Amino acid sequence: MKYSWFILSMYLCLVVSCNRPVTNPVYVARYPSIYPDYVGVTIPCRIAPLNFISTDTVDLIDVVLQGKDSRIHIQEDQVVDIPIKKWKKMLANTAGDSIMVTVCIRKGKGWRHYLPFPIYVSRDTLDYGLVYRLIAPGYEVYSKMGIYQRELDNFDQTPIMENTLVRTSCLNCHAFRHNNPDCLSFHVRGAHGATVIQQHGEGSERFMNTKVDSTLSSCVYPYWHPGGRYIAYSNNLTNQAFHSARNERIEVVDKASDVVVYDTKKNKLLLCPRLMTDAFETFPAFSADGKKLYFCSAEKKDIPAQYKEIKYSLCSIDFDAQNGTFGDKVDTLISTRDIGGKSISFDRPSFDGKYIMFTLSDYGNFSIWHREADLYILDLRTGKYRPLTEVNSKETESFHDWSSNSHWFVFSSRRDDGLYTRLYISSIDKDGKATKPFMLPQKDPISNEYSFFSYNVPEFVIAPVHVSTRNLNIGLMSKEREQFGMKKVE
Amino acid sequence: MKKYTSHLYTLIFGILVFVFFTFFYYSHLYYQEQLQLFLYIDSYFFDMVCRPGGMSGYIGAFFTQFYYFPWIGALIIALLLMLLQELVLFLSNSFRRQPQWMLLSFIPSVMYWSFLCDENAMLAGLVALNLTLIAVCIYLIPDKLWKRTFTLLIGSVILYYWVGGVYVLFIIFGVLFEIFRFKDSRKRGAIVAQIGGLLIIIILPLVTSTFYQDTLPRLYWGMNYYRFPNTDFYSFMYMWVPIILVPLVFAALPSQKTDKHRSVLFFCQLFGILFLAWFVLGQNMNFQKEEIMNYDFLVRGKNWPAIIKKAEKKIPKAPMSVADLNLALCQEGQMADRMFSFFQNGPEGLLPTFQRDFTLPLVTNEIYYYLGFINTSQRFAFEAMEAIPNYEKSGRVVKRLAETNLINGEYKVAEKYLKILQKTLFYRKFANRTMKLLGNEEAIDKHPEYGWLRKCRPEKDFLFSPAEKDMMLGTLFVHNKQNRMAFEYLMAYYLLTDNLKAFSKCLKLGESIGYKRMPTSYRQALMYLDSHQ
Repeated sequence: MKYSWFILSMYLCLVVSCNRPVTNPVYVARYPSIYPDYVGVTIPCRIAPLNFISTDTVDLIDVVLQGKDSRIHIQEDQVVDIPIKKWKKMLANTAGDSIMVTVCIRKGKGWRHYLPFPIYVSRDTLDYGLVYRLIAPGYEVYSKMGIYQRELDNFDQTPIMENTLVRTSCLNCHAFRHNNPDCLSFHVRGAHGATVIQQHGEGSERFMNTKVDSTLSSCVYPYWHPGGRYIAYSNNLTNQAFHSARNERIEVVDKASDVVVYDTKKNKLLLCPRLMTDAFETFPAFSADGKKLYFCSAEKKDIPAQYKEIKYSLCSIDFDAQNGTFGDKVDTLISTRDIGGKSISFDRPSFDGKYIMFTLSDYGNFSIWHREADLYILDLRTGKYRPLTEVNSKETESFHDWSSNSHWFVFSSRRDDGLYTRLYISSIDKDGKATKPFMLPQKDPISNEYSFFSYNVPEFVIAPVHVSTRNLNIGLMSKEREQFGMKKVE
Repeated sequence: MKKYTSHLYTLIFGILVFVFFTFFYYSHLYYQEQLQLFLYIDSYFFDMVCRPGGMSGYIGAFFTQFYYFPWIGALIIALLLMLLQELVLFLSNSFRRQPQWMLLSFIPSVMYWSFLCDENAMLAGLVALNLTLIAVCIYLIPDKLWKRTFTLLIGSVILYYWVGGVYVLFIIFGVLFEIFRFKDSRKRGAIVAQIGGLLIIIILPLVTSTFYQDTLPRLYWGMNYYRFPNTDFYSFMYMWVPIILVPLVFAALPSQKTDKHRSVLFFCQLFGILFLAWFVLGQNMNFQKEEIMNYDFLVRGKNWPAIIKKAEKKIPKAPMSVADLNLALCQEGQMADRMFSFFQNGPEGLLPTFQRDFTLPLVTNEIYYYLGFINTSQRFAFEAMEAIPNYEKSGRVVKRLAETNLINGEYKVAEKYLKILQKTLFYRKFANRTMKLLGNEEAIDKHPEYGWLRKCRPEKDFLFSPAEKDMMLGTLFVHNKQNRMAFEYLMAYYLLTDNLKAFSKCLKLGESIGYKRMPTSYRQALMYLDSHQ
């Protein structure tokens, strides 16, 4: 009797820990069907475990990961949950090489053994984490949403700000200076609206009113100058319309838009007439050296009647950070006429100055609601551009961001179901070729299926973002706002 | 027998509550059910219980899902109110046993009954109260002061995260019991408990605000008791204060020793309680809303004849009910004949204009759905769900989203919603049944509802224009000239906007519908036109 507890615990340990051996499997000459699809992907040497499930119904799934000098064996009934410590060790040892993944599936009485597939482990590091917004892919009304940060070598997700803090507010357009979390800008819309700018880390929040007399609206899409003194914004008069026919939902169109630059030092918006024409200018982004300002521009059309005729070209103008002045002329890098009458949005230069990645859709600038939207890349050294066919899908590819070493990029895609946006990460090799993208790893890949949220505006950060929730609460709930000044520059 | 008398009163009270919610107020329960989506998955559980007061929110939501069958919901409410009364009685007797005052223990339950007549009052509040009072009962078990002090300090922290702001009652009761029952209030342990309790009340929500993002008033008062987050929190005091006062009254009032006095006391209390019930229920009951909700309840169940029958008894005047009635008339093929037999409030009674709330778009989505405006129905439904003030999701809406995506051939999205519904108790059957239709074009085309709506939805794209509803209805009808509902809504729209010229011009379009005779309202409109030309 006195040993009964010991015997029982030993028995339980054995039952729990013992795997069923894979015996006499039938060899299947194809890769296993898994979700997310991690077959043949390239990953950084610092990333959370690529947990996955089999898309077939299974009784048991047996997985062996063979690294350079270590091996992980997992047997589960549903989710292949890779032990994080072993995984990290395996990645560290396998950098520059590949992990071979052997999947055996038991359904009924027999085992099936699939072709082992590789996961390539790059030596190039990836930034600390990602910041994104989680929001339901809705129309005009919004429920709970928030801006969150996710550490990339584990599954920890923490809120930077949720709209539970300031009820019924909408949070959007977060941006960092070259992935540096100390310089942050984001907007809060609603009764307690403000643009929050934090230039020197936690505690340096400023709550701004960005609308001035000469601008169309409050500031919208932000992009930090690499020097940290300036932030480029667009001003957009935006309208939403709703499609009646199937497979299309929302049309977001600008009735007018301009580009402006905010000088944080002098608290002044720099208004340049060449960026505030009758044409629609939007999506400003500074070049890696800060000497150019890229933006998208479309000829003015009658809205909403001609909304399908709005086609944006990729343009640039010189910018002098020393004096806060602009060049005399606007250059067109890619004209909509050259690109088959399509429309460019989300121009994002790489930080090494080699590329601009952008989204191309049939018309307009709100590409997330365009199923045909794909990623393109412009090589600034040759002036040639091409579709990133390695990463594009039949569904929407839209917002994207570069890692600080410009080797990796993250992009949002609706390839899973055509509506809910998920994040995918890929890398660019020295020849400008992208690797097969992998979905941002999830502890439980099935959790995506039950989530009402889309991932939105992913931005890499090189370190954790520190924002004082208390300061945000007090600052936003108070009515005091710092008013942007303005300065017209030629 | 005397031993069970008080329980008999409790039972009678429970029966009254059950009858009230089952037969007179059931649409309110059905309405509440549609404003949440209780999922049997880990992430839903953890998401709920990680909030302060989350456990009571989770249990409340668990019970609320049973409102799908209002009589079960009524039973649950009755049982919880009975439990509240029994707990109040137990705690009151723990102060000082006074059987002759027992009817006073019904006051908190009566107050909460009236509170639950508000469609935005959440059951989680009642669950939280019961859990708190159970915790107080546990506090009474230890006989040693240090054990009770420990229970109070640790218990209040745990209870805060389980039930939210109502945990304050636990601390207050702890202090009161030390004063009135254990007479230990001046001992060192009791003073530690009292100061500790006070500090917990002040500090705990502040500490929570450093890692949980919500407003401080909600962290102090609790966040699951009312659907609207920016509510007047002092209204909870009306429920909480009697719970403290009743036991104090037990402790303070003298015992009545003669039977005569007891009888007088009993009847005084009884009439007092009845008066209180009459007064507070009268304040909070809203049978106008009940009627509107009942129309929506019948629409949701596609019980068109019942809607018409109800309207024949009492003509609806509320805009939402008129819209529901018109939909029912159309579904029963009576609109063109009978719509003017009932009150009409212009085109808003046909297709109400979109509002950013969680009720009107829910009703309007039904109309657009049956018309064949699948995208618009989907948008209205989605917006209604997003507008739910406490950021909950909606079972009814997710079901509709699965349907609209299925009809639109968006099988992956439909599958996502169906998989979510498979994790519910009452929508699972629908989800399993509908899952079989995914990708099966033939089965969908043959489906009596989805197949028909596929034929009705517009093929040629146009942007929704609320100012041009007639144009949209016309386009819809031209696309499918068998779409009788589109035609009748178009004609009704012209009649209700006094656009008789357009009415007479479009009337010929209706030939394809195959009317055997000219519908009454059309004939009357033509006669009116003739007489004025």
